[in-house]
Amino acid sequence: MSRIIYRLFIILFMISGTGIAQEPKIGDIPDGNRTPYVHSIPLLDEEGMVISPDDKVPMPFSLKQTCTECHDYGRISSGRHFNYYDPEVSPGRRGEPWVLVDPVSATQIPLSYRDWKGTLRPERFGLSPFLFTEKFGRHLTGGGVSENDSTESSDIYLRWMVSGKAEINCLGCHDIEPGHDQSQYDLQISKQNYRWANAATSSFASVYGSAKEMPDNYDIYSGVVHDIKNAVPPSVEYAGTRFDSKNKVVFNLTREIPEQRCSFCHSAFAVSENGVNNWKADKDVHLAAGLKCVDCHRNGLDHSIIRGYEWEYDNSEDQASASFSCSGCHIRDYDSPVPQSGRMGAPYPSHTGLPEIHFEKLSCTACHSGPWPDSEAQKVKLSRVHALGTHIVKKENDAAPAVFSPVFVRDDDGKISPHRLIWPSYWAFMQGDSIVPAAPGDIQAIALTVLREDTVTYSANIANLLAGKLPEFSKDQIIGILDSLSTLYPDGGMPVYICGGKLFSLSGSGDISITEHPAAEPYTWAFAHNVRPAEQSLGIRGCGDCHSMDSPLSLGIVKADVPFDFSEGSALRMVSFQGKGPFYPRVFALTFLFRPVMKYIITICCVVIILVILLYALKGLDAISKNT
Amino acid sequence: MLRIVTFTVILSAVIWLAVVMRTRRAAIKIFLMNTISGAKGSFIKVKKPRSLDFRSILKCLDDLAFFTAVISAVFLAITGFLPYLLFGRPVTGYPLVLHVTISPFFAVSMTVLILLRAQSHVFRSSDKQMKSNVDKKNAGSTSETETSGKICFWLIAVLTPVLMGSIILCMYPLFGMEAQKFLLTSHHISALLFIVIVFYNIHVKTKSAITIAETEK
Repeated sequence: MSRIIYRLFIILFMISGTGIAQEPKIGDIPDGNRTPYVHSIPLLDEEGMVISPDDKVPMPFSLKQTCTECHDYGRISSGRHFNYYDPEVSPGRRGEPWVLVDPVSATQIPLSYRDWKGTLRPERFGLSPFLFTEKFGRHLTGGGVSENDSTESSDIYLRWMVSGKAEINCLGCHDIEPGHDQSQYDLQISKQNYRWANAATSSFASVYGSAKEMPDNYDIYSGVVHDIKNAVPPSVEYAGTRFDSKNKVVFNLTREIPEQRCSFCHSAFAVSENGVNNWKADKDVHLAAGLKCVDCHRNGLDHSIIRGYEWEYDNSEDQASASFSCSGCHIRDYDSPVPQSGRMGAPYPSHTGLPEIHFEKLSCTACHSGPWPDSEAQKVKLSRVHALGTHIVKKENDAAPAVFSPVFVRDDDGKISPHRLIWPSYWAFMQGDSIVPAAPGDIQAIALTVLREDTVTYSANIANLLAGKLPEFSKDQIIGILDSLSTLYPDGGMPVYICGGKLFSLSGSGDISITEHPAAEPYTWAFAHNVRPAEQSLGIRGCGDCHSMDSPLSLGIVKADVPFDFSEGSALRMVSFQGKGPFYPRVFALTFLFRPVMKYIITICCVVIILVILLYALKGLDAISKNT
Repeated sequence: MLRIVTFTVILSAVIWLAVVMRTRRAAIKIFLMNTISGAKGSFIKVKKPRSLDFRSILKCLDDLAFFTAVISAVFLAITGFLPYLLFGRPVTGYPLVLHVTISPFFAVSMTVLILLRAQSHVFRSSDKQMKSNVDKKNAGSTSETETSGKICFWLIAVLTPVLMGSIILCMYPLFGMEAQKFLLTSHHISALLFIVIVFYNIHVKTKSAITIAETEK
C-alpha cells in the first residue's frame, strides 16, 4: 500500500513538473516595483550547463536556457516577431516581405511565411528553414523558422546539428550595453554559426571560426576539425573580467527598449538624387518628442506586439490594445468608458477646415507619414530588404531591389494609406493558369551565359552587378533565356519572365509577347513612419495639396524598373491602387479652381440675405412698436 | 438615426405632395407652364435690356431667378439626399461635384428672389386680422393662403443663409473636427426643413391658384 502511495506521489510530482499545471515563472510576475531587476545571472549553454570562462572548450551561452530560468520562453516565442512560421496565426495586415534578390538573373521576389497575398513561400524557391535562416537571418530575431531543425533531408539535419538552432535573441532588443553589436549577428549567421550568433552580439563574448566550413560530422564539444586545411572551427571566448566570483555575469537589460535596437531592423530612408542625406532628414516626430517605439508598440509577456494600425483589433475584445493607434491616442472617444486619448501627452488635432469625409476616406498616415509625396514615388532603402547595417550591404542608391514609396493604396479597411511597393521580377513556367517559379540556380547559369555572349552590354551589366543593381536585359537576351529554359525543361510549361508589372513570354513567331498577369502585380504594404510634424502634413497649405491637377496623392506616378524600353512600359497612377480612374480626381480638382470664387459668392449671398432679413425684421419691429 | 429621420421626412413630404397634387393636377400644370414660359420670355427679353424699363428688367430677373432656383434646388436635393439615403454615406464622387457646381447658382438665384420679393411679402395688419378672424367658412380663402405664403417666404429666407452658411463655413480654416460635424448636421437638417417648407409653399400656392380659378368661375 505504501508503495502504491509512493508511486502515486512520484507521478503527481512529475506531472506538476511537466507544465500541465505550470505556474508562471518568477520573472514574469511583476511585483509593482518600477526599479529594473539587476540581471546578475549565470550563463547556461544549450544543455543547461553553467558556463565558466575557464572551460576548456567554452560553449556559447544559450539565451533559451539562461533566460528560461525566470521567463516563460515558450510563451514569449508565440510573439509577433517569432510566430511568422505558425500557420495558425492570423497574418494580419500585409507587412514588409523578405526579398530574394539575385542580381545575375534580375530576380527580386517578395517572400513571406505569412499568408500575405502577393508574397510567395520561401520553399518555392528552394529555401528550406536552414537556408532561409542563412539568407535572411541577418535581420531575424531568432526563434521561429530558425529553431526548426527540419528533417526534410539528412544533409540538412546534420547541418542543423553542426550549426545549432538560432534561438530567440533576447539581447537583440533588451540589451542596452553600449558594446552590443547587432551586426555581429549577421556575420555569424552568414557563417552558419547559429548557435553562436546570440553570444556574438554581446559585449563580453567574441566568436571565431565558421560552422559552414565544418564537415557534417563535426563535434562541437571537441572543438577540433580534422582533414580540412585552414578551417577554423567555431568557438567563443569570454571576457573573464565580466564574471564575478560566483561565475555570474551582469546583463544590462531593459524593458524600455531604446529606439536604436528597433532601428537595426526597421530603418528606412528615401534615396534622393543627391544620395542619402541622413543629417538633413528629420526624425519621426514621436521620437523627437521623446517617445520610444515601445511606448506605442507595446506587448505583454506573450510578446504579441501591437502593430498600431486602426483596424488591428476590430474583431477583438482587447479594446485597451486597440487604443494604441493614431486615433486611440490623439482623438477623443466619447464611447469609451474611461478616457484613453491624450496619453503620453498626445496633442488633440483640431484639423481646422478639414471636412469630415476625409477621415472616412483617408488614414491618418496618408497625410502625416513618410516623405512629402512627389509627382513620382521615390526609391527607398529598408533594413531588412537591403541588409542595412550589415557587412554585405550595397551602399549604392539604386542597389537592388527597387522599393518605391510612398504609394497611396486603398487598404483593406477601405481607407487610402501610404504604402511601399515592390515589382516582383523572376523567371517561371506557366502551367495552365498557375505560375511555377524556376529554380534560381538554373536561371543564374543561363543568365550569365547570355550576358557574356553580348559583349556590347557585358561590361555595363557587370558593373551593375558589382554595384548590386540588376542587369538590363535586352529584348534579345530575354528571348535567349526563355529559349534556353524551354529547351532545358520541355515539359515544365511555357517559360515566362515576370518583370515591371508585365509577363513576358515567347510568341509563336519567336518574338516577345507582353501581357498582364496577376502574378506580375506589384506587392504593397502599408507603413506609418516617419511621422511628419503637423506643419508638414498634407493639406497644411490648403486643399490644393491633394486636390489639384498634379496631385501626388491621386495622380502621382509609380514607375517600374523594366528590363528594356518597351512601348507599353509600366507606369501606374496612384488612382489605379485606389479603385478608380484618373478622370474623377481631375474633374474634382477642377472644382477647386473655382472654389475660392464660389466661397466668396456664397458668403456674399448669405450676408445680403441676412441683411435683408435684418432690415425687414427691424422695420417690422418698428411697425409693431408704433402700433402699440 | 438621422438617416431614418431624413428618409421619413422626405418620403412623407413626397407622398403628401403627390396625394395633394392628384387633386390639383391642372393647377400644377399651369404653374409649371407659366414658370417655364416666363423664364423663356424673360431670357429673350434680357438679351435686349435697352428695350425694357426698370420694372420689366426686375420682372425678368425675378422669373429667371425663380426658374434657376427651382431647377438648382431640385438638383441639389437629389445629389445631396439620394446618395445618403441609398448608401448611408455622405455625398461623394460625381454627385458631390454636381452638388458643388450647382450650389452657386442656387445661392445667387435665392438671393435675387429674396431681394426682389421681400417687399411684396411684408406682413400687413390685414394678415394679423385675417389670422385672428378666420373661421371655417373662410378657411382656404385667398387671404389666408397669402398669409401662409408670406410665412413660408420668410421661413425660406431665414433657412437659406443657414443652409448655405453652414456648409460654406466648413470650407474656411476656422472650425475643427467637432464643429465641422455640427455644421454638416446643420446643413443636413436645414436642407430637410427647406424641402418641407418648399413643399408646403407649393401646396399653399396651388391651393391659392385653385381658389382664384373657382372664384373667377
